[in-house]
Order: sequence, then C-alpha cells, then structure tokens
Amino acid sequence: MKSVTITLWIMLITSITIGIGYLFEDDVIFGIIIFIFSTVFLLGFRELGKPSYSYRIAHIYVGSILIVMTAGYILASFLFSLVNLIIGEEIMSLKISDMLLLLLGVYSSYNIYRLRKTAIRPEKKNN
Amino acid sequence: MKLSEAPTGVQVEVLHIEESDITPRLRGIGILPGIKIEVLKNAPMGDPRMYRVFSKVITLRNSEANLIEVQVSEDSPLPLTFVRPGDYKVEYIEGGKIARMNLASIGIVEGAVIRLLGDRRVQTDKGIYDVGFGKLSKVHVLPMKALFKADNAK
Amino acid sequence: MVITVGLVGNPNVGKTSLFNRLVGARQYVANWPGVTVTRIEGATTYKDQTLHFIDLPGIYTLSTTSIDEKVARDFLLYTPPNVTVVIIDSLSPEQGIYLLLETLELNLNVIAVFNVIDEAKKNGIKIDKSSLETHLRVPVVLTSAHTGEGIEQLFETILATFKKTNRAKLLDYGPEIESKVSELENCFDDIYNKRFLALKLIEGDKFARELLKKDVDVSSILDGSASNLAVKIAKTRYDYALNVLNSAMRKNENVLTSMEAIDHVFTHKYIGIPIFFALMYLAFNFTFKASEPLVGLIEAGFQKLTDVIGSSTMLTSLISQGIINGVGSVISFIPSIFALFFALGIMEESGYLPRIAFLMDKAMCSLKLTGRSFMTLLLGFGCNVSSVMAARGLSDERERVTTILVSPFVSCSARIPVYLMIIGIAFPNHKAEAFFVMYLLSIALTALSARIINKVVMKGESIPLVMELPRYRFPSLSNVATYMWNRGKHFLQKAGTIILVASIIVWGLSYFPDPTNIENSFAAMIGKGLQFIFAPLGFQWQTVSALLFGGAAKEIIVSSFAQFYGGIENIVIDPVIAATLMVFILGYIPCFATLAAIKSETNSLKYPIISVVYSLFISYVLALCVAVVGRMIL
Ligand SMILES: Nc1nc2c(ncn2[C@@H]2O[C@H](COP(=O)(O)OP(=O)(O)O)[C@@H](O)[C@H]2O)c(=O)[nH]1
Ligand SMILES: [Mg+2]
Repeated sequence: MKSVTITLWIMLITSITIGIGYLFEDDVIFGIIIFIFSTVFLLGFRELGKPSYSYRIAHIYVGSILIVMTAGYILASFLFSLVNLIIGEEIMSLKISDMLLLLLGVYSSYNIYRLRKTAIRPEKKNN
Repeated sequence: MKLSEAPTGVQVEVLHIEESDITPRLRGIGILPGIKIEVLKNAPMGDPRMYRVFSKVITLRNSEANLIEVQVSEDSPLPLTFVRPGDYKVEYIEGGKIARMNLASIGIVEGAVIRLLGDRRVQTDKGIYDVGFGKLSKVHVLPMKALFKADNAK
Repeated sequence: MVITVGLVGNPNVGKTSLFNRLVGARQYVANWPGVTVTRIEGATTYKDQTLHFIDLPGIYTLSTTSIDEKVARDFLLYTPPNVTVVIIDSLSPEQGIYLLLETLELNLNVIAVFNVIDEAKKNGIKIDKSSLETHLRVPVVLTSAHTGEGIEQLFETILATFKKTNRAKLLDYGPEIESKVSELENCFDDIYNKRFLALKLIEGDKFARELLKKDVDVSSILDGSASNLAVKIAKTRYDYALNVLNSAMRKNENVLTSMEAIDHVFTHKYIGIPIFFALMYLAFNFTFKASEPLVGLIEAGFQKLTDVIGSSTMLTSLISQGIINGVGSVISFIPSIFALFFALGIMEESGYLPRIAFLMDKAMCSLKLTGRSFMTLLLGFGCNVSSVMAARGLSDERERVTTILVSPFVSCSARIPVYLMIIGIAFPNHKAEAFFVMYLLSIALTALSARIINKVVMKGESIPLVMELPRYRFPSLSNVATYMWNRGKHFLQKAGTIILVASIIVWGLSYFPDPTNIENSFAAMIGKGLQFIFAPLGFQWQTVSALLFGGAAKEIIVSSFAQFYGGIENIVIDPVIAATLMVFILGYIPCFATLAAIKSETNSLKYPIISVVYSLFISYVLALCVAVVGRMIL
C-alpha cells in the first residue's frame, strides 16, 4: 500500500511539473491535457474504497496508460517528422517538456507492466 | 424498490418486470424475476447506470430501470440510510480519509458492530451520535441476523 | 455441394473475428456491440467441400426489437442454413446459452462454439467440453479467433454435423406451457416452424402474430396469462443454462475486477468526460501532426512529377494537371486519413467507445438520442456512409432516422484533405488549433441539427438504452492495422475511381475552350454564373466551381482547387474567407455515397431531399455568420 501511495505522488508531481512546463513553452492546450491526466492521480488519493480492492491502483494504472498514450503521441510525431529529412525540411525539435514526458512515459509503461503482473489481475477472493 | 433506486454497490434480486417494448430484450439479457443483479455505478449525472447481470455489464437508463421491481439481497451490504433500525456490522466505508477519520472518532470503523436507533441516531461503543445523512450513506452495513445465518451455514 | 453456415451469437462475442478466421476475410471488427448490422457472406473450401459462411448481427434473443435483430432472425427462420453455429462468450456464457436454447427451437443443425477461450484460460476459467456436450446435446467447440485455437476442429465439426440427421431434443417447458404451445401450433401454416412461432407468440413477439393463419383468433388461448408464461419460458431457459454451466464450468469469482478498476477511472464522475475530450484532442492532433511530414513528402513527389511532364500539349496537360495534380492532391492527404483511423481504431478496439456512450448518454438524452447513437455518430468521423449504415443497430425508428439525417454533419475523413489544404494556406501558424476547432464545430452542428430535426421533422419520446459494455482489451497492433487498412482503403479506391473521373472532367472544363487562360474556361463560366449566390460569403469563381464539383465527393474540392490554381501552393485565400469556406464545407450537402446510403436506409426519397435542402440552408446561414463576424473583427 505504501509503494502505491509513493507511486501516486511521483506520478502526480512529475505530471504536474510537465504540464506547467508545457504552459511555459506556450503549448497551452497540451498543458491542460496533461493537467487533466494528472487529476487522475490526484483523485487517486481520495480512494480508500472497498477493502477487497484498492481503487488507488486503478488510478495509477489508468493514469499510466494515459501518460503512455500521450508520450506515444509525442514519439510518433517525432519519428514521422524524420521523414522531413528526405525533402530537406526541419525535423520536429523536442523541447524539455517533451523529453520529460517521454521519460515519464517510460516509467509509466514500467508501472503498467508491473501492475499487470501483480495487482490488476483476476484475484481470488481473499479469505 | 425500483432498480433505479437501488444504491450502488449492492446486489439486488429482481421481483417483477413491468411489460413494455423492451421486455423481450431484457429477458434475453437475463433480467428475470429471481435473478440477482449487481448495481455497479452511476454515470456523471446519475443516469444511466451500470449493472452486472451474470458476467455481462450492461447499462440501463433509469426510465427503463424503473420498470424493474427489485429487493436487496439479504447478504448484500447496504448503506445505513437504507436500512431499518436494528443491529448491524459495518462492512465497509466508502469515501475519503477525512470522512473515515470523522466516523472513526465516533466509533464507526470497518468491522464494528453498531445499532441504528428508531430516531435514526447511531449507537456505537463510544456512545450515541446524530450522524449526518451524507455520512450515513457512506457506511455500508450487514444486519447481524444475516451474518449469524451465514456463520451457521458454514 | 455447398454447405451454408450461419454464425449467430450475442453482440461482441467475436462472430466477425471468427468469420474472418474461417474465410480469411478482413471484415470490420471492433470491441463494441452493434458493429455488424447486415449479413456478411464469404466462402471457403475445406476438404473439397465449399463452405459458405454468413456472419449475422449480434442478438440476445430471437424476439426482435431492431432492424439488425430482424436480419438475423429472418435469416434463420426463412433461409435456414445447413449448419448454425451459435457463438458464446466463454467469459459470460449465460446469455449465450439462452440464445442457443432459443435457436435449438428452430430445429436446426446447431454447433455451440465457446469463443475467446484464450482470455478464459488467462482468467483461470475451466470449461468441461464433454459435460457441455452431454447437457446441451449439441457438438461443442472451444475456439479463439485471436490465436486460431480450435478453428480446424470447428471445420471438422461443421462437416460432421452437416451430415447428421437426428436433431437435438428441445427443452420441455412444463405441462401448462406445452399444452398452450400445442394448441397454438395449429394456428400456423405448415411451412413455418410451428413450435418456434407458438413460443414466440406466447412471448409476445409481434411478428409471430403476423404469421398466424388468417381468421384464427388466438385471444382465447392467450388469455391474460401470456406475460406470466413468457417469464416462465425465459426462466426455464435460464435455469437450464445455469444448471449446465454449474456442472460444466469452473469460474473464478472475481473475473471482472480489473475491468471494474479501469472503468472506475474512465467513467469517473468528475474526470470521465474531461479525459474523453483530452483523448479526442490527442486523436485529432495525432491525425494532423503525425501525418504532416508524410503529406509533405507525397506532395513534393507529385510536384516533381508534374514539373517533369509539363503541360505544353493537351495530352501532357491532361496527365500532369488533370490526373497527377488533381488526383495527387487528394492522395497526398491519405496519410492523414490513415492516421485518424489508427486513432479511432485504438479507441474502438480497446472497448472505450461504449464507455463514452455511457458518459454522454445524459447529454444525448436532452437531444432525444441515446448514447448508442453517439457511438454510431462517432463512426461518422471515418465515413458518413458507415454511420448511416450503423444506425440500423438503433432500435427506435425515430432515433434511427434522426441519426441518419444528422450523420452528414459529422466531419468525415474525406473532409480532412479539404481542411488541411485550406488551413495550410490561410492559418499556417495555428494549424492544429484550427483543425480541432473544425471538429468541435462539427460536433456542435450535429447536436444542433439533432435538436432541430427532433423538433421539426419528427416528434417523439426519449428512447430506451440497453447496451452491453464489453471488456477492455489491449488493442493489438495487428488488429488496429487491419482496422486502419479496412476503413482507409476505401479512400484509395475512391481516388482511383470517382475522384479520377471527376478530376478529368474538371480538367476538361478548365482546359476548354481556351487552354491559355483559365479565366475563359467553362469552369470559370459556371463559377462566375453562380457567383452571385455566394457573393455575401465572398467566394471567388474558383471556390464556387470547386464547391459545385465537390458535391459528388468532398475530396474533389481539393482536386478542383489544385487544377484551377495550377497547384495547391499557388492558392491564396484570406483568413476570413477561409474560415467561411471551411464552415460552409462542413455542412453543405452530403456526398453522393452518403445520399445513396440515406435513400436506401430510409427507403424513401423524402429524407435525402430533406437532407440536401436542410444542410445547404444551415451551412449557408452559418457561413454567413462567420463571414459577417469575421469581417467585423478583422
Ligand atoms: N482475446 C480474444 N478476443 C477476441 C476473440 N474473438 C474476438 N475478439 C475481440 O472481441 C471483439 C469483438 O469482436 P467482433 O468479431 O467484432 O464481435 P462480433 O460483434 O460478435 O462480430 C473485438 O475486439 C475482437 O478483437 C478471441 O477469440 N479472443
Ligand atoms: Mg460483428
């Protein structure tokens, strides 16, 4: 349970930082989107629901999926922009927030992988 | 009680379905008298709602769920606001840390045995309290009698 | 010798996936109920036998409330296949067995297939095949359309069952119902399956009533107790199903916890809807950003090609201007279209789409539509024809027609090239934002139209929503790729057919009678002749002509523009007119294919005409607003 809380904190703080980063880089809409995704982690703290299953994990899980998708979007845009090299135009330049987001994406995929292995799984009723 | 009025998280048993155009489809999905349905969650505005029938999750609007008359299954925890006065065991508490702390301070914790009095006040180990409606609805309880039965069955 | 095999089952159990496996087809598969709305046929040979497979829409029962259900029921009733395969979801088999029991009443050669066995195994569900076979008295095959497990065996079983003559014994409903059934059986002609119809009659199915012999009166047999008996019938079937499963299946109690967990966040009270909009923004931005470099590359390639060929003679002009420039300008936007389908594919395959329907249902309710129709309309972002077709899955006639009529306002992917062209010219610094705004506008216009149509054309109540939410699945790349290809290839075909032809016609109209000056061409004459209509919007003759030709298919607008200006890079449009133009294009008349679909789906000329008149009117008014407001601001 403790590691879950820590993960929530890590995800929340880094994602908010990245969101602010995007605001400073004048990408307001994208910043807002990151904020929306970080509220997934924020609301995770409210969950103390049913004892049999912790919804906090769900928040980490889904939040991580969303972050991975966003990072994947940045990555795909970057990779496709490499095509520009052929016609001699500039490729997309990755800004600092983009880099951070990609890193967070890697961490999130690790989260997803880990949770799929352990927590998010049809568990037996704990008697 | 109508299906649309059943609180989330409880299991209900269908008693009767009013005939309408969609009754055959409801029957096909498995909504029949005697069948147990689990109320899963509400959409943002409280309508439609998600239910589990056998292993399928389906959504119904409240206007359709109104056609279905149900009763809460005996072994399904209910919010304190839904039960008659009597002795209950707290099964789980919905809601955040603060709500839990508040409830714990008056002796309502998971696993505790409490008594709901006729005037809707709650008697716990720590005394008799007047608890707000909002908080009461977060406390899910099982009647002591049902627990007793379940234990005997084991 | 041809063996016909019908595939029936609940929605979303993998019928189409299995069909694709069996006949090697690539039909549209997605993780939400109601994808297949017509019967799809395909043939294959196995051991020198020709097997003809028919994929049917998903149903819960053979009593029917919507058109797609009727398609499945009528098929089984009037043209019974040699073998009927009832496909059952191994993770939620109860409803499947109910349908199986109903199908058995039709006295067909039935095989029960428990599909998605791969997921069942992962979830620790054990299925005892032989026990199922003894209890259900039909051959049982366990399959997975994903891994291919059991497919071979299914083929074998089909061949074996086909030869079989003794049919499975039917369920006994107890003396009270059985006596009613035998009484009622006399009221039907011999050509029908009387027992089936008699049961359906008791269950209150209207169509069974229509098939009664003339001048028989069943009201004496079906006194007030019918609805009680109907419940009893259903209950007998379910009790049987549960008993069978009890002995043949070991289930893990908490199978769906992970799904609940995910759903908890995706359909969250507060953040469910914001997440949806954020994802939509990402999806449309992806369409735009990821494909932009590829679009540039292809454009550059075609540009080179036209330059090499030149346009000095009539023939070279036809090739370089009419064909390469005209068609090429459209083809170069194909990567964007594929990118959009990629994003939509993930959304559909993961099972997220029905959750959106769940979230948005309340909002749709105020438009007198359901979340179901919201889902149908989302399909329209791909192609309006598919959303018009998919509206069949809507059980209420009024909702269906409304959905069909508003479908054209959902900004289909054929409009992407047009927007991208105009945005590229007029808003080079705010491409992504302008693109997203168009989509928001499209949603608003769709909602507004639904409101208007419900007020004016049809009046009615709100409609029931009974929808199954499928399990979440991690979308596999191959599935998404298939989806993308399936839906995107349509545009390649279009480029080779209607757009090619239209481009050549447009070329002809702009080449003759004076090849040296396009201002004297037929196209210019037409455009200038009609320009007065669009004078308030500030359109030039090129725009007017392009809009006229683009009525057939929206991409032709791009191709016409490219030809009138001799290439996209030569076009200049000022931002206000560009915005006006985009708003006008968003709404103005559905393309021919959509109109044809509207006509065939509503079976009347009235609705296509309403659609054309209404959309011209509303888009003109809106465009005028944009033009006026735009000029005031700038
Ligand atoms: N894991 C798994 N998924 C399947 C299988 N068969 C179908 N699916 C998935 O189930 C969903 C619905 O499939 P589809 O063929 O459209 O179902 P239909 O509505 O019955 O035609 C899709 O997301 C498929 O990818 C299977 O055998 N295993
Ligand atoms: Mg299908």
